[in-house]
Amino acid sequence: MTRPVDQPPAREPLTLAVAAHGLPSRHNLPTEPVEPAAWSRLVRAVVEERLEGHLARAVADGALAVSDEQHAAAAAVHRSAMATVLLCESRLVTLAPALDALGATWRVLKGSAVAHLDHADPADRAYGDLDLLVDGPRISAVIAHLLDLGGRRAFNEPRPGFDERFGKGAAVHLPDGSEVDVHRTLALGPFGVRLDPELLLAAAPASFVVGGRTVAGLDQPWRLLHACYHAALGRHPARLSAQRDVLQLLPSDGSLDLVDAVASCGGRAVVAAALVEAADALRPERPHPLVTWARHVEPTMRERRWLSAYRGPRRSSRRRTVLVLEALPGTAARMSYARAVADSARQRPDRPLRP
Amino acid sequence: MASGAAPAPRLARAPGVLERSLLDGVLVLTPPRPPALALTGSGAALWDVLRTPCDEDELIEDLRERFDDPHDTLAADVRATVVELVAHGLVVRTTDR
Repeated sequence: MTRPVDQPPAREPLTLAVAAHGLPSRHNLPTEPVEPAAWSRLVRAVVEERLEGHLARAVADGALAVSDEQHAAAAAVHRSAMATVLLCESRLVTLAPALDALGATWRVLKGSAVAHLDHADPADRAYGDLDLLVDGPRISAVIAHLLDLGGRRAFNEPRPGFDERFGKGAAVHLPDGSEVDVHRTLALGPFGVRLDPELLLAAAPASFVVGGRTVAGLDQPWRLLHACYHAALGRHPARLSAQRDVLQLLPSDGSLDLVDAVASCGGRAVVAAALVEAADALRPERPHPLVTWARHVEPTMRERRWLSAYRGPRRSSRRRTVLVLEALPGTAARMSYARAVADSARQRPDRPLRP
Repeated sequence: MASGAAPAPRLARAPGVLERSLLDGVLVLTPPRPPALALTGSGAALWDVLRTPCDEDELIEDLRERFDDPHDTLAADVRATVVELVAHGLVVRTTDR
């Protein structure tokens, strides 16, 4: 059986209820321990959807009834996830002074920032790698530093200078098993190129402490913007943890600040799609004003064309690569980008460029 | 001239330790020294007590009240655990008051 890729994935109500635990949601957790087969499916889904922290929270709160055996299983998957988290945070703590010494302006993104800034207990948010936003002029130096530590890039830079000017960034796998994703911008393809990361780096940061060291994440509206970009433009369909982040980050005062933020970076359709899909999946009790706004957003033809390169049956890295030409300002930038694409295609015709 | 025995070193969590609460304890790691160590049961309680630095006798007394264990057995377990945590860089002995 196959499923059209633009349809929401079929998820069990129990998985959705775990993902929504802690939000005012219309999903309900069972009051009696579920049968072993249902529990096994839940644990598999929790690991796949990176919900180990949410499962542990539901169990710790007594909201999800479990047998002793199920309690032990929930504890084991959570412990394993948190071991990865601490490995990432250890990498962050040791990397931070080097980033500062390189003169980089940088922010911690996604998992680590959301865990510390948006959850009462950071153990509620599992994540698998360390994501950093680095200013374009320093990104090559930061990647070179990670390679000096024995790291390996998942994708090579197509030509010198590409990372700093056009690339989303680079994923670097380090010998200790940790992965550092160095971002120049928040997404691949045209939406990532259209966004000016200087806007994010120029905004006042939100600081948090990891291992006794103060580090900076993005401020709340930009953190929510990134959660939306990740949920709507990243892995498709989005993990439930990514959709939970979107709802977790909604401002409790009902503020519409994000609308102004997206207007400045061409991300209106992206944010609207992420908000609607997260709300449809996790079913909050009351519609947040931002979700109400999102349901009324009508994407332009160009936004639809760009979105279709990330999602649905026409999802394609090659289309995203070509559509970057529409997003770049000016002929010189387009020519330079086209030359880089052509160079990359000559060197690796089997592997599309990842702008 | 005043004289007397040197004060017993106090035990404290090492600065910069990373930790996460678990369903059955706490997971701790001192950068850059993986792997993380899971403390459960009395180990987790010991870690909790060390939120405030204390000497070994105070630590044993606090845990004895929590677990109602025979003093000798508990003391031996605590000393062994402390040695392990110091070896992992998670706990330091300090004379700071």
